[in-house]
Amino acid sequence: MTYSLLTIEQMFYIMSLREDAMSTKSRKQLLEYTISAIQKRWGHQAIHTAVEEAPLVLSTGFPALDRALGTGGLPRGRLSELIGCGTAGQGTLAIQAIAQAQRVGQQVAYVDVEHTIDLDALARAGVRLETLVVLRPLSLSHALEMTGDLVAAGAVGTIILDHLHDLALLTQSEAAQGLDRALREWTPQLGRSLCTMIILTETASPGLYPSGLALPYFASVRLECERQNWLRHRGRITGFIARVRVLKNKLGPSGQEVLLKIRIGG
Amino acid sequence: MSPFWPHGAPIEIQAEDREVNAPQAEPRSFLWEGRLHRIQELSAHWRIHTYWWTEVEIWRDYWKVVTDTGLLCVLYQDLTQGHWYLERIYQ
Amino acid sequence: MRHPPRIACLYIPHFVAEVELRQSVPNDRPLLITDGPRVLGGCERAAEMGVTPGDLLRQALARCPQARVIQGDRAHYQRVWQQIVETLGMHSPVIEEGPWGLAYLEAHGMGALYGSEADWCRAIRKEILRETSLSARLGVAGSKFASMIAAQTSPPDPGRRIIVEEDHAFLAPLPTNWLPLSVETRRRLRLLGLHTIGQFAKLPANTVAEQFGPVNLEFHRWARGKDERPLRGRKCEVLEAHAEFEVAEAREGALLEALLAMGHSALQELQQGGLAIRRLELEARLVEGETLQRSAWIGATPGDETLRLIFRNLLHTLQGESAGVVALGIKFVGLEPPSGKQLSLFAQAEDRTRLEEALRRLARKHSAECVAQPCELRPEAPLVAERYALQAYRL
Repeated sequence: MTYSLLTIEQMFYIMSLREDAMSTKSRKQLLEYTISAIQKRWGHQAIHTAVEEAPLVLSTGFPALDRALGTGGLPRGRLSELIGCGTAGQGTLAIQAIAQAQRVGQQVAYVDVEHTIDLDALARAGVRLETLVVLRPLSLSHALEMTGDLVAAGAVGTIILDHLHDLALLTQSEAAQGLDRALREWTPQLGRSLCTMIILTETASPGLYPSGLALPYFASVRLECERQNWLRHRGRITGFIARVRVLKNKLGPSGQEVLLKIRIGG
Repeated sequence: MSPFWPHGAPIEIQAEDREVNAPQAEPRSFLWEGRLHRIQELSAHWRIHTYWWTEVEIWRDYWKVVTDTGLLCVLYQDLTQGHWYLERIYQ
Repeated sequence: MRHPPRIACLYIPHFVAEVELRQSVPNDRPLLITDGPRVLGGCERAAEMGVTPGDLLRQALARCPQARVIQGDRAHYQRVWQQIVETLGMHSPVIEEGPWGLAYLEAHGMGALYGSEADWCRAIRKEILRETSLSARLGVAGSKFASMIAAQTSPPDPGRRIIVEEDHAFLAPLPTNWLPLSVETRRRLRLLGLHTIGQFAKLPANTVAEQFGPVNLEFHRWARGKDERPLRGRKCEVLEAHAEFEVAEAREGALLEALLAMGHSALQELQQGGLAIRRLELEARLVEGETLQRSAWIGATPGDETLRLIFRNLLHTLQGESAGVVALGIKFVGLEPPSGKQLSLFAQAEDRTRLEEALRRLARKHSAECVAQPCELRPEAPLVAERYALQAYRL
């Protein structure tokens, strides 16, 4: 069983639901009054703010990976990168992250850079399609602009950017500078709104990640996926074992590896 | 995510010993976005034939394949015209 | 690729009588429960004497003159049954309710999840016993009909029967009485010397149609292990909230306020969303490391005072167990509305407004086509592209 912390922010959120018509200032005052009243009646230990002590996280949907990350999942308010080549499991990780985000009541936006969103796979994974927002940009720079607008609005809990590819070409193009600028702008905004951003990157071959991109620097967590064995039933492929390596983890241990069973449906 | 092309991404196929556009040709490799993908395994094969009563008949041979480039993907041949398409890549 | 089906059937024999017997003083006499002039249910002894639900009471008393007769409480039986269905919903993704005492569950993959199908059945039986004091039986097979027979023929201990062979092999030696055939059809089968399901299954289909009527073709397929009726179930929605304490908290008052703060507003949103809350689960992690779970069957979405009472009663059961609580979790278990469409459990009014404003700005700045949302077309269509589609976001 995983536990999430009840921070002042979450308490504010819960209290704020009761007072839709109240202003932000009066809701904050109500929250402060309520906390003060509880502490006065039952002591200071009755309610705590614990946000500085442990990060807020979004479960990956794979308990072994959550444990390997040390914090219980991907960090909220930060950027995570999922790297893979071909059939490696990075797509499944992203789909599970969407399902997990919706489970905890978050709004999710999916930036469909290549216009290849697999709605059937999402539905089979239990994603609630009717509450999913899909952005369909016309180009990568358009995708960065739309994503930036969404991040600035602070209106969604999780954003999936699917995907960046041809990374070697990307480093040599103007889009790299655009990405650099975008990441620089997004980082503080993500932190303020506690929005989780997950960017999928496709490499030309396993382990081959070109230098010169800013994404590895700005990402708090980088997970590299690589397919190991196929899973079979009566000779037919039903899935595969994916090895997920924690390449970088600003909030926990890095270098861990886990093996995940990925089932293929449809 | 698992890329999915609802209308199929056109590919050039090399089939086995048969005319490429003939029905039931087993694919051996295909060219997609400038890269050759050799097929290592044909995992599944099925056919869909529907809407034959309309002008937009759907008659396709589907293949789930493993390539030497590390893809598990679904290809299909449109049997009404003989062309091949990539439908999805599992990720 | 389709997996071979695995379906489980939960069966609680003499459900109404068992519910009454759990809450009444033990009595030697057979029990009948009435609903007006007819029998709503009877205990096992009454059934052995030939009483069946639906019989006129005077007929039932003629067969079972020593019976104790009590007035039934339908609402209460429905609440208990819903409690069981909710419990099943915690152990399977799809539940199909039958009449009281009978339900079907999706069993595919449950063995892997729990270790084995036997472990899964054990977990379900244990939880139902804990929640309702009722002893359930489970049958697992490849079809509804076979799983129902497996459940009904399972021994009381261990209370489960898992069919590993093909359904038709399991069904073959059983008498034809198990099939829902008419009295006349059974009579004709006896005249023809056909006494078992296997003998009936061996008949060619056209012979069955000619001799017994096309209406029995479906039961003929069941006999052959080809009951392909799908599960028509509904999924359960769950809402959770958690809180941690930096210093272990043992004072009931502080714990109560924390629970109310977590649950109150969420409950209001659920009420506005039109979802019914059936059960409340409390999980407390103790400073000693142990985790305790308690649950309360609510039966209807509670008001503030009821919620306070429920939380207080749950906390009372934790008293004396520990030096303090370091984390609390509550879970509201709700049902989907009858239309079958999933609603967002958290109708985040303010967040939703902010999101729609942001999307409106995006649509104006970039184009309406760039902001989309998925819609369901035909989820079971053979062509994947026909199952779902994207449409411009409705703002």
